[in-house]
Amino acid sequence: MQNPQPQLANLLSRRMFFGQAGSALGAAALASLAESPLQAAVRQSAAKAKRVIYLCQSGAPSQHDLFDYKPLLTQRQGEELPASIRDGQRLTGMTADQTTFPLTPSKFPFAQYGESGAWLSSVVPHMAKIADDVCFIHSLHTEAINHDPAMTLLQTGTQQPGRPSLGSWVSYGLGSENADLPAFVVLISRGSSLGNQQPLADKLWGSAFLPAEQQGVKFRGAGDPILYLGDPAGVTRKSRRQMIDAVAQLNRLEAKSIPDPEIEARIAQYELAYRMQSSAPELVDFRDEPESTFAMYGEEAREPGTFAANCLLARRLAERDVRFIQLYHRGWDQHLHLPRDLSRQCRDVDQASAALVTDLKNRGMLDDTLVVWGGEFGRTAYCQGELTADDYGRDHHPRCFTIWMAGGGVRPGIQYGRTDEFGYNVVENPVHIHDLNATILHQLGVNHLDLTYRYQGRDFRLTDIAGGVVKDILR
Amino acid sequence: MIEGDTTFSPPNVRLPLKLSLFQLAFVALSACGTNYVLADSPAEVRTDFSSKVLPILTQHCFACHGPDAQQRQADLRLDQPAQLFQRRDDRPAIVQPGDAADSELYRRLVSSDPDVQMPPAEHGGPLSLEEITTIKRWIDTGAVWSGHWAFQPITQPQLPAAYPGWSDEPIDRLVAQHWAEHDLSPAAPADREMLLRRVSFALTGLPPTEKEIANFLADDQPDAYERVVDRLLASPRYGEQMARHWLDLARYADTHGFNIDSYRSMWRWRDWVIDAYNANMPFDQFTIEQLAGDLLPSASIDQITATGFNRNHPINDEMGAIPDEYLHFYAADRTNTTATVWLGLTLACAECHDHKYDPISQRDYYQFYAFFNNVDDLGLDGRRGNAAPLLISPTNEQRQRLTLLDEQIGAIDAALADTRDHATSALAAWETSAEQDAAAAQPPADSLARFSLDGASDLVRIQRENDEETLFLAGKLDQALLCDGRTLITPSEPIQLGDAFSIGLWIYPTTASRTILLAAPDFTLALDHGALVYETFERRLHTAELVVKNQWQQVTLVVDGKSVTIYRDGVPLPLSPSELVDSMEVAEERPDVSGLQIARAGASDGFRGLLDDVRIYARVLAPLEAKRLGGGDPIGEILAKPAAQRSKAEQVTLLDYYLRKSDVKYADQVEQHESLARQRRRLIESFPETMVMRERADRRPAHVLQRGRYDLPGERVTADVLTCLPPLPTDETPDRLALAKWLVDDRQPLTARVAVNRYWRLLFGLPLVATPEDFGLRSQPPTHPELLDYLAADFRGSGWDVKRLLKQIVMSATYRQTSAVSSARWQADPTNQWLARGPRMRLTAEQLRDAALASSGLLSEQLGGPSVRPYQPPGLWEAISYGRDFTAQRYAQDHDDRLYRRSLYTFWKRSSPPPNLSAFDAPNREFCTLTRSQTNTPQQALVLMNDPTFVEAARVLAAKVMQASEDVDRQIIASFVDVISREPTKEELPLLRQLYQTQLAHYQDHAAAAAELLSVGESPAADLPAIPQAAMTMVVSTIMNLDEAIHAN
Repeated sequence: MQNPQPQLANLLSRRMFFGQAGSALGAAALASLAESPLQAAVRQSAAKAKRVIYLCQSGAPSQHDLFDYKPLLTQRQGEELPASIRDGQRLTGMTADQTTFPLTPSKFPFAQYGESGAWLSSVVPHMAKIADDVCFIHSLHTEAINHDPAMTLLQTGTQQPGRPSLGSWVSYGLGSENADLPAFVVLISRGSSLGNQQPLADKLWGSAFLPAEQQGVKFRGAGDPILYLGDPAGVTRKSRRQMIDAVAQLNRLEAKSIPDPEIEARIAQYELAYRMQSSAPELVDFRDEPESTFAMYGEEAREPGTFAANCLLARRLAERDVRFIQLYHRGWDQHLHLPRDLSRQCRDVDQASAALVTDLKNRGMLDDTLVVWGGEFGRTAYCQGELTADDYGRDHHPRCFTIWMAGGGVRPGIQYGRTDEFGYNVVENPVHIHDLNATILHQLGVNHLDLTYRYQGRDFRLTDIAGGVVKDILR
Repeated sequence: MIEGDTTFSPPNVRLPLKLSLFQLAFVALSACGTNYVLADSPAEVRTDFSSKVLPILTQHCFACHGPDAQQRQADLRLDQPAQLFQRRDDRPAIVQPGDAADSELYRRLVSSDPDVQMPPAEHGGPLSLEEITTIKRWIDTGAVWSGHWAFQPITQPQLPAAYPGWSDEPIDRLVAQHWAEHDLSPAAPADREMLLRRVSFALTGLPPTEKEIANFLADDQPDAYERVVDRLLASPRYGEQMARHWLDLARYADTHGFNIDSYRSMWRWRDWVIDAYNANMPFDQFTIEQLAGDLLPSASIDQITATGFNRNHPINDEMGAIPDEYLHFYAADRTNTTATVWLGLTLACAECHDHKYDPISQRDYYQFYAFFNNVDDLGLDGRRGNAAPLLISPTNEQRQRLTLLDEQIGAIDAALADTRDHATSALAAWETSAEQDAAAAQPPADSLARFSLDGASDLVRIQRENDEETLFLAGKLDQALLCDGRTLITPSEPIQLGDAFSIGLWIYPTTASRTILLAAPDFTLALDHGALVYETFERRLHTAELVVKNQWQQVTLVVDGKSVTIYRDGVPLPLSPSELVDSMEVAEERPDVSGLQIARAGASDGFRGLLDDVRIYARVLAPLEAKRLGGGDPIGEILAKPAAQRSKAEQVTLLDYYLRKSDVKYADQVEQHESLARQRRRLIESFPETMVMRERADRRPAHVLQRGRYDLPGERVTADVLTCLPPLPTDETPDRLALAKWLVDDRQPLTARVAVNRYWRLLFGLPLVATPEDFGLRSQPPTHPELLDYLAADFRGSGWDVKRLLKQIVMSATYRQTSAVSSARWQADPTNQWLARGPRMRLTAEQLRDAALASSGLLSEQLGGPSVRPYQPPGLWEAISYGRDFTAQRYAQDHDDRLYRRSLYTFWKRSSPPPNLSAFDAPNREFCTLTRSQTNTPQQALVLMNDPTFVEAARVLAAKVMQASEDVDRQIIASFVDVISREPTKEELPLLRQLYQTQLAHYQDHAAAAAELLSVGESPAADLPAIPQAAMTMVVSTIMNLDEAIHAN
């Protein structure tokens, strides 16, 4: 695709971000852009997915205790990880000085579920019920071995700060289908783990060098759902309406002497803000949900700010055609006391994650909604700290981990990629973070090679200089 | 770029191509004169190459036939004239000047044979007809090669004639010369209100006051405007406005970024920038001090503080991360940032491989990097406060105060010594008298409280778990209390300690594990494996020597502000260096203690063992007193010795003791001395610390890192500048200082161009070079190349005088045009790149907030100091942060004046920057940002309408105008002037009056709502009737939401 000049991109993205408001710009400068060449150019084919719900599990859940069953670890429990398997792998500063690397099986029993026969552990009983709707990828891998660079890579395609996030790229490339809501929404919840809750940062949903309006907009569990949404105390909707009308009238007077089309755009943004003030509270108000919803998502969904409530909110956002819905659930960093803390984390997310997939399916929305579930890297097959009869921990592991995807044109009920019998190295169909991101964009109808933005003389893209679509997992 | 960086006439020139650019540039300068002077000569052809042909080659050819050796195909480079114009082996040169048809380059472009055609299909396929035509025309007209425009030496352009009837100032002539070509003519001069608002925001970031507007309107002297400009440039607000812009470039923040994102203290560097701009420090000095102030001969504190520029990058402290990986990140960040800010080059593109478009090899990159990788820093650091290397950096004011104190202390010292010199014989008489009694051995009697712990007492409450009985055993003095780890002693009368106090107690510990001895709201004293540990929110100190188990020992804690002494048996114990943490942090996980408690705090483990004779003093005990408290008798010991055997120190101690007892004047002076000494100590303790550059003694070697990976070092390299630019002088040691001087060397053409381009943008919104971060081959050529060079040459020639440059620009007729033009004129040049109207500037996030504070009168004018935490919606930091054990994890909002400081003082947490500034495009500051995006979103409307910052400003401004006049129209007009800098028109005023009436009617029916609205914000409510004030608040808020309020037209 031809690279738009920054100013052009600004105008374009603005109108796409809030499509309807964009058309209200009405300026001659934009008239020629009515067909939105950028949007047309990035569409390589009919999109399979209209939207993405990304259930990001921050801190890195252990694939060994959830998805990637390795009976060998039980057979050889406590034995040393063979050096040939580790093969010079660099370790974090937390286990680099450890003198022994004892193989550590999961404490949770595994069984096969569904017609697909997916192996899952006992700690995710609800996910077991959607095994046939899900594609498990066991061969994800990354370069980063610490949280900050790994999350930054997962979400922005590079380990260092400075690049736009996945959601911003999607928002930039495809814009919004709902004039009253942003294209890219972020929802955060804290985990119940008693251990580390790794931090998050605005850069993970930031727009970096893309126009700032492409950054994720946080919807919050407490206070205003969107920052500064609520009118100040003592100001009624009617007063606000009168004030916005006055602003528009006065701005139009200004436009008589300063014929800048931006002024008309600003008037439109005030209208949009006014509408958002009513639409967003309605969106986060679950009172119109039947009891069956809470039976499905769990009672926790009634409590704003929990993962379960965020999953339900994600479904409501998806119903309103929000393009990219990014959830983060914190607390998956089980270096120590994994059995205790992983159980707590799974209680937070298992039921609601499964409910979301089922709910979308029941509503006929799963076909065009891509759900992604996973963290930033995996965890080690060996124990960090002391391995006892019922306690252990696992360090960070970049060479393999499991994520799952559902809907949005991804083949359901399949297992893709394979790790060795230690669950340490990928032996079949490796999938890098860049491949995952290329695949997500592909399902949205975007060729990851074409979605570029010129900054500092270089055409940047989400997948940096790599990435390939994982065609095998697509319908 | 292209190696022969000057006009190059292909067939007959035989320049040795190995010559550096610099040498070539000089050959060209001396032999042919300069390029830009040739205003009406072949320059057109030359311009054609640089602006038309070179971009095509760069865009379509260089990826395979350019500077990147790894990607190069057919061993052909099109970025070097030699390869275009010279025979290759037995084949003719691919460009035959004057004959496109006979030139291989052209034939390849037009071939329809897919094996021959260039570019090949996988690289984008054939060029457009227009591009091919451009290249054909270039070859047919002689194929004159010239270098990339930005690498050419800067030359004073010949000035064109003035636009008829318009200004003949150089800037205006150089702007106007392009108008004919675009069928443009100058706009009328801006009216005075518009001009004053524009220039006030441009130079100070604040709107003009009502009085300033009135003065300017009334001033009919011809130099009225110039005096306004001079006033603005002399205002301290000028330095703040200019620093704000520099902070984005310098990626300044108050946290470390990355994973934990905890607190750092870099405000001294930020204040250095403000001061430098206010003092109009020349830009070359500004450059040298920030990049290499530490290497200047006898560098001052300020010069070293300035080097914080390249310590502002994020610093990681994630547990388990690998230090080398981050050392590389830091050095690369300094390299890339320095290249972007001063050279306008995208050096970062050469970190992993040769640059694809610019003549910068990967080796060049790591040579430049070598200037920055020898900093004495750690890969992982910043857990507690700043990351090494550090500097204690007192402010000017603090330094002056220290000098004054030293003088005062010196004077008293002299007086005391004099008194002592004259008192020797009196001392001898006293020694033989009966007065030297045994009272000297007693601990000081003036204690605030004393708990003997010999049994139940009204003075203290002793609690054990489950109301078990308290036990007293034989103690150091009579009985002692037995503590079992769950025993809590609370004074019956709560004791609030100030910041200077002493506490002594006898202990007989029976365990080694960590237990609490004393706890108060702002400190704890614990026993941890024998060490005595003193902890506050800010720091942790522990004794190196240990307390012994199962033995009576006396412990005294003496706190004097930040100075802490811990005595064991009257002997002071050496303390570990203090670990500094963020003093602003509210540490919620600390035990909840309201007053002094003994032996236990909260749920933590209490003291185990025996406790006896606790004495609390509301003052600092002197060492002698502490010794007595610890059971010693220091004076008695000296007196016991024959006078001849006493050491000098003992003699002074004794004499001092005697004089304090016998000479009232002496005792007063000693007290004064102690007070001054304490002030001095407190002053020194308050000196801020800042992160700076410092070289390592053993040099950290630099290598070319394969694929940019820290763990794949290749060839070793030494520090050097880019080979495509003039070299360092051979007699210079290649260090940062040499680099800094080279950046501002007259022969190096980029720095001045890059800088003036940025300053121009600051004033006009649009830069002359549309890609201010990239002056390389992929840059947008300047719209006004002659103007760019004029400004660059003039800036450099003036001794890099920033205020002079800015003044020259804002004095130009170009700047002073109106932006209110007809729609047709606007459409003729929508972005105003040809400058035939005045700039219409969107205010920045900081300007918007500052303007609201200023117009309401809330703005605090305090210059500099630690960052502040104004209003912010709750929970933002907490939702994403790690929490325990780290700083800047919870947002503790400030109060009073600190709510109303200018926005450049707002605390900047990288992982969660101030949300009301982010909404208006402020960056995260995780990396160098030259261009903020300029968006127009509904969130911005929400901020201006609903953020308490703006609502409170509206309320306070409403009160201000109501206090000034009772007439509603006058109130509306006055607030309009304060916000928009002009009076409302005849059309505008009725609309606002009508809005006022509807709001008034509404609040008359809803009096409680009026009171609610007036309670937004922490500033006190005005003594005015609530209903009209609420209505006027809505009117002012409306004015603050106008498009014109967020612009300077």
